Amino acid sequence: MDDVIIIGAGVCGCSLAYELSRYQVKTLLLEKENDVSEGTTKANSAIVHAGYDPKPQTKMASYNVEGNAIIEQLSADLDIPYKKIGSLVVGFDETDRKTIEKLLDQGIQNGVKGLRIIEKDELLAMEPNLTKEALCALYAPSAGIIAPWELAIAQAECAVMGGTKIQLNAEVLSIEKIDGGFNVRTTAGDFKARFVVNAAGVNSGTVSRMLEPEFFSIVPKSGEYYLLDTTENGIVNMVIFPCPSDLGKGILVSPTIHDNVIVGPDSKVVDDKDDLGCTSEGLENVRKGALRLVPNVNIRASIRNFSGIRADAQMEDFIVGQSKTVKGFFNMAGIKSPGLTSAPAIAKDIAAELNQAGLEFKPNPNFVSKRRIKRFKHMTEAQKAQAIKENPAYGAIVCRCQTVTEGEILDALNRPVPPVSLDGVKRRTVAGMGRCQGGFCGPRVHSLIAQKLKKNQKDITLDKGGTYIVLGETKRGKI
Amino acid sequence: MKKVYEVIIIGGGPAGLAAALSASQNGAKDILLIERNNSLGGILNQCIHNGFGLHYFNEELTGPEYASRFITEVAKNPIETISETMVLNISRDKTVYAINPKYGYLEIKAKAIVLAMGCRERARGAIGIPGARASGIFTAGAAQLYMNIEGLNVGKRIVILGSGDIGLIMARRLTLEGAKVLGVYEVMPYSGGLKRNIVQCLNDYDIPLYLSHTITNIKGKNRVEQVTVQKVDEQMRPIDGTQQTIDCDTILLSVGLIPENELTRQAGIEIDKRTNGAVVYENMETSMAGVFACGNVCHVHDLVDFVTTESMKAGKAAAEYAQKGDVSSQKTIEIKNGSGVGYTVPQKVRLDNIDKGVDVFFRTRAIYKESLVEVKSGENVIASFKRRNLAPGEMEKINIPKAALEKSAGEITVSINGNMILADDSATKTRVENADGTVDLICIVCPSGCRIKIDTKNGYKVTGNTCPRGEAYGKKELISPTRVLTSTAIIKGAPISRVSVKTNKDIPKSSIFAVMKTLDNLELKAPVKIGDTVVSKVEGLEADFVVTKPLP
Repeated sequence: MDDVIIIGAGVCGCSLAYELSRYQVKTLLLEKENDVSEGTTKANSAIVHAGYDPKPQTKMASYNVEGNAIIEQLSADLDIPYKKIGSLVVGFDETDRKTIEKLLDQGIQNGVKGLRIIEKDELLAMEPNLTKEALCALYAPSAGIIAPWELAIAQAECAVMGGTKIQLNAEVLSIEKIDGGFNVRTTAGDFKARFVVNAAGVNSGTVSRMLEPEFFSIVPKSGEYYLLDTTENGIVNMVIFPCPSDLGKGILVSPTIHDNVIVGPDSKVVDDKDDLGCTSEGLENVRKGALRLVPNVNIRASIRNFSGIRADAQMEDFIVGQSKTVKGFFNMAGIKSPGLTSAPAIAKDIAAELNQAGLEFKPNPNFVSKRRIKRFKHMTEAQKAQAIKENPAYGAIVCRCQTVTEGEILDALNRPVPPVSLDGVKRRTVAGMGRCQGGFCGPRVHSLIAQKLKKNQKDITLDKGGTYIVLGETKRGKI
Repeated sequence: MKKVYEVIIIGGGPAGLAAALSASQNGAKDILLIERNNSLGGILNQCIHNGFGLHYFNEELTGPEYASRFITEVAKNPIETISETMVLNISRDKTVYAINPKYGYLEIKAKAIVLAMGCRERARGAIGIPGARASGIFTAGAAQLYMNIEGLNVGKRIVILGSGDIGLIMARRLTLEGAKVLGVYEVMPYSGGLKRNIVQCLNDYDIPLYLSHTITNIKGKNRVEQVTVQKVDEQMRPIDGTQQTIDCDTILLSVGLIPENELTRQAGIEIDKRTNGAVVYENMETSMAGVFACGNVCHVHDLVDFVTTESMKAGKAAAEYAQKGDVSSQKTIEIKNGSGVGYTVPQKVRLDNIDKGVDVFFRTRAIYKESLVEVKSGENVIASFKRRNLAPGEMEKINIPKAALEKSAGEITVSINGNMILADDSATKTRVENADGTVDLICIVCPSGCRIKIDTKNGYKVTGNTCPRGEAYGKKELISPTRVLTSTAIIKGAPISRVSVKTNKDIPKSSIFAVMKTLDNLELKAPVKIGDTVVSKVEGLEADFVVTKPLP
């Protein structure tokens, strides 16, 4: 029997796995998809929020502010691209100014540092492409941008190197209380542990109901985005938000950590939590929202549209902690925005609660706190020369839009939580994330994955299970 | 490998090959041709269909054969080539920084540089098709690579968005390999591809072409399961109530090409927003002296033959620059776009650097019939050219005489004076059988796509043709239509899984699928060279299947 089973390998589950790997704890991370970070973690605004949005005195408020600080350190330790670029909440009129003043007040109560309201002249000097209609803004220097999936992947990798077990393609079917713990029945077999943590994202309501009487359910809310080409880099310097409304933080315009520009999201309740489609109305709303903030943002430079599902439990706060009804069962549920920012702080809290509930914490001598990744594009000339000398694969470019070498792809394929799909490689190396969207490098990455996994190319997927790319060979047996 | 070259050419596709060859023929001594892939030839390697070379070689070649002619010539000349080498950037002093697995990080100086990096395809994100994020959505070129180089089937039931040539070519290719192509949907009210491709890729296989249609939704949990197509109005907005759903597993996008100018931009070279390529002078020189651009990196071409001609010009100019330095000219004329013209190449002409005249390539914004292409200086028309048909999908060329240019001030305008046609559904009516016993056809002998009339009651008399080949085609097409069949065969011991082949003679249209079958169980072993017979007398016909790509 393991000590802890974590259900869900999104940013919450992976943060907890990393946190628990500091100790001699037998942890099993279960994930229903074929890779970590396959749910909300891979499709969101990718913002590390400052922490002025949540209501003071909520868990959300303290996790957000604490998480913001942890991520700065964590991203350095784990070699995750992260930039503290600051954010602006832009106001257009006196009503907005009141909202901004309220946000400032909340931020101060929440302990956010450096917050201040700036007026039009300073605002336009900071962001020359911002609409001239802007009146004032809340400036939050501690907001940042990150690759959310990398935060999950890096923590999962370190955890696995430190002894955490991971079981992919294991969808939880039922959970049963047994002597001394739980039996978790999955599509990949039964697993037993003393404690179970529900970090199942949009499915956390379903998982909770396997043991607990219903006290929350997840209403899937989709948000659609445009990702613009790196040619648009520089249109804004910071994360630009409108004033928040009942629907959420609103449609933002922001640089991404990979030098693109992200625009979105709208917010719409969807019937199906797996509905990741974009709609023309949704995209049109996003376009309009973005133009209102930054009138000359060039939506025609779009290289990708996507939509993400937020796990909204329809509650003011996150659902974090031990179950009130089932001892040994913990929830990290309803983790909507600012969930990404909060995840590492929530993980620390859950770990502490597990400890209190009887999980012994002896330091893990094999704990891997740091990792380093070779990113060819960001090397100096001398480093590039050296990298190729050491391994010729670093001299072969596979993804030309993003300058990703074969060396980096092979490295990704050999890491502790190796990718099995083209998008899995993309999330780890950014190959295929550029303007051609894998048109050129896709087939090459495809064949490298097949070689590594010793599989036929027809058995390799674009992303999650079932997303096959090719159907078999020409000539050898007709399709 | 040297540290300094006279001319460095970036890109070993058709543009780079021609530029290198021409630089050598024009006296440049140290020439380096840099290619990012492991073999020369660029995209032609996967364009296994025929139709290349009709203008340049006066014969019909497949893509690999066309490339091979230049690769062979380049090898005969003192031109150094280096493959698997990616140029990372170019500095103002014309130093090229590149990487190669074997040679490591390279820093090479050039006196002149030719940019010949080609273009890429527009992807789904660029056109914002709503719907699911399912697998099974390919750009036509990516599907072509999978099928023709790697020997992998991309789908069974296929919908193609966009009537660009690669999409049309792939419609036929997929059909020949056993897939069902359900239709080609084009958002514009006219086709974007060459007429001959509509005839020989769609009509030959009964694949419908729908103009003024687009995809408005994609469904599928994992792989694509269904698309919604919809008619669009004149503003290209989907018309409510015209939705139609189609069950399919694959979508191919053939919705345009974009020059790949990352290096050009990085180097600070001026880019024309209309072409997405560098602004060039009459000799293909960019805003950076001694740096030239040619082929699809400069503007997207329809035909490789014109890429070759343009690149020959660039290669020659690069050789001259390396030897003589800057072009000096008293007078530079800017070419502006007037009504109906989308862009021109070149954008600037240095009067002292042209001989009798200058070739100006352009594309129109709409379809025009029986019109005049007018070159104006102010209000004065200084040259004009008659054209029967002008279409955005077909690049046009005029030669403006030097004498006319001398009359102009610093600026001229190219515009279209004629009948603009909003919609042209002639692409969907490539064969019309008239009541009087005549049949209207599009001649597919060359890319011109002449509309011809054949009188079946009058000894198959052909009218409307502009050359004798059109007459021969018209008769044969009605009596016993034939085609050259291009395909691939399995090959072992080569770096790629399939080698391209073709029938060395026309075969009856009706025998195409039977002839295709003869390749099913064939397994070749490298080395093979162009012209090697791999199946002789296919299906008892006169034709043999021969190799079209050398694989050592």
